[in-house]
Amino acid sequence: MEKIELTCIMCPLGCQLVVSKDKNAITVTGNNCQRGEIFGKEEVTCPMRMVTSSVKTSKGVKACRTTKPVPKSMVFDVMKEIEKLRLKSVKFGEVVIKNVLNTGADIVITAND
Amino acid sequence: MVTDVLVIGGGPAGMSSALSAGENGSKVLLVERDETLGGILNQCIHNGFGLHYFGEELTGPEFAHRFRKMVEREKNITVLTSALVTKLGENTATILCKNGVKEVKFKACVLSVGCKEKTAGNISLNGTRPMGILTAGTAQKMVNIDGKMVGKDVVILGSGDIGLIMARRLTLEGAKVHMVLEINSTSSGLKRNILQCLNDFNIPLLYNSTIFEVVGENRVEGVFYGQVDEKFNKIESTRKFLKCDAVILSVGLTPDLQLLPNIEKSKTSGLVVNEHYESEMPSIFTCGNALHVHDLVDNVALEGKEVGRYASLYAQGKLESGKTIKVLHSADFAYALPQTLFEGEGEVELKFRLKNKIVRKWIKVKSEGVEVGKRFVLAGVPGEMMTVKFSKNGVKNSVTLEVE
Amino acid sequence: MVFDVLIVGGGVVGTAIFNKLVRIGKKVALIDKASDVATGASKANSGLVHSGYDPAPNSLKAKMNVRGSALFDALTKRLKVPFKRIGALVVGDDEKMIKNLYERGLQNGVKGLSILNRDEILKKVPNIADGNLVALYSKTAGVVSPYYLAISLADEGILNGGKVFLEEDLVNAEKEGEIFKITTKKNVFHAKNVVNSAGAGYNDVAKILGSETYPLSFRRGEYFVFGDTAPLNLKHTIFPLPTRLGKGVLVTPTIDGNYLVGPTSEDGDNITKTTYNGLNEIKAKASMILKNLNFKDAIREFSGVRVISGDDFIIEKSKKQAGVINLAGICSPGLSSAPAIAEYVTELLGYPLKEKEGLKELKDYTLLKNLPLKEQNAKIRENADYGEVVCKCEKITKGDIVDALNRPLKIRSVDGIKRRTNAGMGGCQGGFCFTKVVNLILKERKISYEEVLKENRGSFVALGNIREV
Repeated sequence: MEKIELTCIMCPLGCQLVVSKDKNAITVTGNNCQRGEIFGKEEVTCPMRMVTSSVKTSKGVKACRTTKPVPKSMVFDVMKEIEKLRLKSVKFGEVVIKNVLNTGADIVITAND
Repeated sequence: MVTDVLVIGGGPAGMSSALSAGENGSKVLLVERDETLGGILNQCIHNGFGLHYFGEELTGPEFAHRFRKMVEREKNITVLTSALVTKLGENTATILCKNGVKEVKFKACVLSVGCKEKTAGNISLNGTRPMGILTAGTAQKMVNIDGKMVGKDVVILGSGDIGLIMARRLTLEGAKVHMVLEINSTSSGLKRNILQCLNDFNIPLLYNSTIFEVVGENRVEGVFYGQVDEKFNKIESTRKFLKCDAVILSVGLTPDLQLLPNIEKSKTSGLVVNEHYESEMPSIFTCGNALHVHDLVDNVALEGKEVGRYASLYAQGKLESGKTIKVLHSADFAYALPQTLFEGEGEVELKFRLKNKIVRKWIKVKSEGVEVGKRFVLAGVPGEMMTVKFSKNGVKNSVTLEVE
Repeated sequence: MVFDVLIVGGGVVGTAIFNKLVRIGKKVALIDKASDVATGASKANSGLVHSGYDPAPNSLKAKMNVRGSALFDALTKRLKVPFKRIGALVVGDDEKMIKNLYERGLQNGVKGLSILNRDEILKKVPNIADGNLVALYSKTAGVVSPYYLAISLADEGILNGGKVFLEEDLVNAEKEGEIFKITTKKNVFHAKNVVNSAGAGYNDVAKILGSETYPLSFRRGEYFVFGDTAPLNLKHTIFPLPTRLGKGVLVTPTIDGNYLVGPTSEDGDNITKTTYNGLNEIKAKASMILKNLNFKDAIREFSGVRVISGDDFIIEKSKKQAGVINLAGICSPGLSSAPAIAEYVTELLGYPLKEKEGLKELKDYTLLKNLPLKEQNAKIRENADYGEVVCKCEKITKGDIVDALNRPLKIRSVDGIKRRTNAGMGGCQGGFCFTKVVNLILKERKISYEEVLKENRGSFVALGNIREV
């Protein structure tokens, strides 16, 4: 059985969670509320992260983001996709990559025009 | 120039107060020193903004964009960008802008100029001063606005939120962040940032540790670092060398009140304010990070909204004050705001920061020994600004915040 | 082309000599290894123009200081360099020592000296620390920006035909008859005479020239800078009684409105660093001068290295290598002496001091904020860049910075802009304006972001594009 220690980030209490993982089940101990259990389970199964960065355009770099969180393990891959872009100009809210790496998330421009 | 309400600073606090003053029927002049409104939000390209205010998670530029659009639509607001207020007095200000040096007469003013970062000079960082020592905010601007790398091998001094955010940013953009050094035994940064900005990338956070000396002539070549004792004295036996080419400082923020150098400041280094967030200088209101450094921009915007309304009412001669109630607090608190209230009816909110972490405690508001308000706190940390509401009906002289 | 004189080293002394020689009509070149002038001892000192009571009578230091100080009014007026005779007090409890200093001052020909008792001190310095019972007051002591003076000296020299070459690494020197052939990594210069004013690099240059080397030592001085908002209420320079190691930790207003507290005095290497012990020493010593110093008001610390060679300046014609003038160990009062040293070197070279006719006047680079309101508005009307503030702490406009970039001496460093305009010198120490200044430099100089420097070669402000380094 695998045991992972985590600090819960759902509230300032910061419970020290122990997430135990075996073939059949994942159990969370050390949490004081249900949000801690959900957080603990998600962090060991499929942690998700929003990616923000900047795309390179001929008018300098422009801030961008994923429209929703992507698997944590894919963050650097998503960064590589963002790096591939060399755009002329972009507009606020413009989607510059659709469904990046099949994550279901788009890369959208967040910088002011 | 003449206006009802002059708002100085076009970040989230300023935009929000300008909006609310405008919506309340006052003519507003919103003065911003940069070319565009938004303030520091424009360089905070990470997410985590807006959950409280807009009910969805936004990045800094998106949060700024929404406010900018609202400001553009509000007919009572005139925006003046690339303009710096160089002098501020009661009912008059001097503005340096592309149209010249202008005098502005106002009925009320909202000082929402934000905060500034502590520098290497402020903390007497020892060693040389080569290129590569940057405050986190400056590094953030260079990376996110100019798209340039500040270093390949980075050490971050201080674990404030911007430092943590920059640890992740620099890692994603191709640098190796070797460590974050924190002189205290706890971090003032949010738990979420420690997890998502450091733990995700296996960046060590060393507590009770600091930089002893920076080495390098032209660019940073490395740092000597090590542990400190309880009095922050360096423990020489722990001294180690790390090769690096950048030192990013995230060692604190202070309200940037250069405009009013001779006015007495509070514990937050901001102005002392009454229930209406009016300072001891009549007609001057203040909010946002110029008053006290916030951890969430949503709270800045909410505070701006409230203060903009007060300033607007003041400008219209409709703001009523009363006998003063002093706001005091026990040693458990770093500060409490506002510093005074007015006697009268209705509910008021006090904002405060704790000195140390508390778990399962009551925050109580007492007036002359009698409890007038309370709030249960499951967990509270110094890094989080908190509030408590209570009814001030019948309260006189003073209230005191306590932890029980 | 054969220069009459090649000057190696562009500190305040080198630039003063350069300026003077250009003005008497000589063909002059100045070379420096740095990316700007005044980047050595001239950028990191107390910025004081001493009246001259301190050096031993009849020493070169005494002569140069008293004469140099007398030249400052006309020189700074001509160059439009801010200079103020704010007066200095040497304070202590030893009346005899104060009297000795007073006598020495008289012997050196210093005017405007008087001795003050405690009450008189209190009138001038309300926050003087207890125990300072007696003072020597020197009315003519002044403050100036040492680097701004050097920059202006260089600029005016260039405007009148002098040449300044930066980032020059001296490789070789040989004589072809009476003419020196000086080779650097980038250029070859021919000159009839060579002036070695290389400061900390004096011996390195002397070895290449074949002139005398001297035992030189480095003495590091650390300082605190207090911002102009620090409530010090101080109008004069305050020294403690001098010791063998120098003038001790002083407190002074600067010409820019800040305050300096320092220096320490530590023999060692030529590395400009600040140390824990050094800064603590300043705190302890300065509290013996002023009561109301709160080091939380400090906005910066820096250190400078003085080059010491015995008790006096060495300024002489080389005996080993004809045509070379040696200037070694020009430590304090080097800044005060610089204009006089320029005259002295001119005479050593056998030239008359008379300046030529029709010299061009340096443009007025007075910062917008220091102009009368009417002129500010006129300037902004003409060019809106003067209405756009870049450094909000010091209220430095885009116009001020573009002007600085278009001065005769072309530089590409953020610190160079700081020395010319004060941008980045205030409370946030460039936190808000650093990248703005970088962008103005690259645009005006037509170089890439990565070519902009903080100070010298190698101090690139950025390493490249994100994700590409």
